[in-house]
Amino acid sequence: MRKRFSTTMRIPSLLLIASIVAAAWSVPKVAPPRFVVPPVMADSERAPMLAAFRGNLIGLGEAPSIHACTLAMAPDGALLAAWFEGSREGASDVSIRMHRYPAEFFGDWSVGATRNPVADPLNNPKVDSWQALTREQLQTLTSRSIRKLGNPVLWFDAANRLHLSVVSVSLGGWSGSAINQLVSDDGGKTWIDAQRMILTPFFNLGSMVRTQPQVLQDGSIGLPAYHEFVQKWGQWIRMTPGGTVLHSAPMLRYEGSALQPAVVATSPTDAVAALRTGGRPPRKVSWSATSDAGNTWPLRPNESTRDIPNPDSSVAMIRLQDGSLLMACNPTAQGRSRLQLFRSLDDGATWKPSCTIAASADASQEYSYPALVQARTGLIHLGYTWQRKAICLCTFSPEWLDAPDDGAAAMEHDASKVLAPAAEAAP
Amino acid sequence: MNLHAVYGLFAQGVIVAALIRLVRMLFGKARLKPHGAELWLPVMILLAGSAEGISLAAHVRGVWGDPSVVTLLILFLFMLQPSWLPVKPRPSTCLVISLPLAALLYVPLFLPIPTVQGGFYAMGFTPDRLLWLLGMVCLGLLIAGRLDRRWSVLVALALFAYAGRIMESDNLFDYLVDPGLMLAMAFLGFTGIWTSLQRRLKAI
Repeated sequence: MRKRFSTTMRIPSLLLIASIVAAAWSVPKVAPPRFVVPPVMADSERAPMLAAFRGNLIGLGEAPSIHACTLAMAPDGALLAAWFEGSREGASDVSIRMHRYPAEFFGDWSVGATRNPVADPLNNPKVDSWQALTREQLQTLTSRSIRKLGNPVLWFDAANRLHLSVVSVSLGGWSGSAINQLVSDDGGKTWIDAQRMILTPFFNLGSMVRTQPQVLQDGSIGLPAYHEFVQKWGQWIRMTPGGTVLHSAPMLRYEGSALQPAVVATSPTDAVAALRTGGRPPRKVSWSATSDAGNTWPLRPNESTRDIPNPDSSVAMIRLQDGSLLMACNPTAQGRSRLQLFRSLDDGATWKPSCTIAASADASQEYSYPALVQARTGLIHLGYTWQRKAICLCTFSPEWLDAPDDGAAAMEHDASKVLAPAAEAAP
Repeated sequence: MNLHAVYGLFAQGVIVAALIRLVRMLFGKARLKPHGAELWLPVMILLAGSAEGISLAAHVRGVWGDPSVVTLLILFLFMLQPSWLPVKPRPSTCLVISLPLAALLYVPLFLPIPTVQGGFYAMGFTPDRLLWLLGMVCLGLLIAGRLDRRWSVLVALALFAYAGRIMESDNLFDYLVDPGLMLAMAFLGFTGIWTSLQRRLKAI
């Protein structure tokens, strides 16, 4: 027995022990996660702004179908917007389009400025527009066939490097999708690194992304993702900026169809997530929460205080500089013909309706897939799909949110009205 | 092209070569013996041929993704050194029972069904505990004299591959198992049971 072991088993055994040690050595050392939560800024800490709203259609006429806008603030104060466009959603000619709006594009919104940014905008705004990613480019970057592109999400890591998380499908419909991570060092003109995220063991089917990630204190990223294979459910992925997955945790996995989680951190350990609800009506915005910085999402907050209808449509949510939460969604039982803002002053426990952004009596009209971001100046940017023909990029000040919702900003489905600046509300 | 792409594209060539050989064997046109040309020819064709600006291997890769390292090694042995395959045409009773059992466990534990997948598969992203468990199991099998040297080498190579992150995945499970391997294990296990039953029936 001893001789047999020594001759046939010694090398395999040693090899196995060495491999286990090597594998254990390579396991990433993960520190407990902590959210980055900027301190609440008092009103006295920033200059008062005009209570105004400005809306522009962008991308109109560039492609027959335009959808799924994402927004990100560049370190220099520029606004980056991206969406997918092509002959139709899911077509092989769909590509990712990007726009870059320099900070001066939005003008000076402070009270008493010489030039009103809404009534008298810049005549020659320097807006960059380019095709950021095509299906063929992603094929080459990821060394695999890609049949179609889907939702893009732009974000900056702690080192101010631009990333693009984008959905792609190689086979079948959206349930066969996967997430790709790309990095750019030239503001999204070219992508130098691409990585397919492997999130499920079953041919990596059904992983998608739609909403903004959270940067954690150690520089890692919390990416809200979701699955559409077999069942729809949200997933929290913690990863390095390079795309190495450190942890994944399911969100609302027992509650039926809840997807596209929009996550906002309210303290270093707490965060609340609002999710689009699929399945059978009546549908309402689904909620989840974490108290351990995303390690687990076991909390099912009391939904009676957050009873907001959701017609199986994407939700956007951010935390403003004053500590309140702002959400944009379609609060209708059916159809996406009304886009409205909601605000919470108690970390998402209760929500009050705020201004209506777009509304139509015709339920077939679509104002959907909102994306929200707040600039360091305090300006809030909202982008959303306008009739699948354009992206409507809206800019407004926090003061405008406090103005009564008299319908002045509500946009009809008429393009000329959308392009016309809304009436300035009294501060 | 990075290391992940090299692994993934090369693996597609090996998979296609193995599938071709399997089909030929089923129709009695090939036998289980080493044959390098049967492996390298499809590999070269898939890597060199191109359509839509990417290689044929990249097209195949888009269909089913990358196999686990264990699967790739088994396919490699199947093509080049069948005598070293860890599963014989007449597997032991232990394997006959454990293979389909492992395959049956794989379905609920690894299918992306939210009720189960979130916990188990996610352990593979930071597999400290899994590696401890694996070490203990291996030690136990070694002491009991039940450690199979072929499986040991295959698992060891997969763990080294994980340490070097030669695949796109950061999850340890993706280096060890995949749906194709589980399907093959289930097939081998069930055919083993069937053969065993037939033998016993004949004996009666």
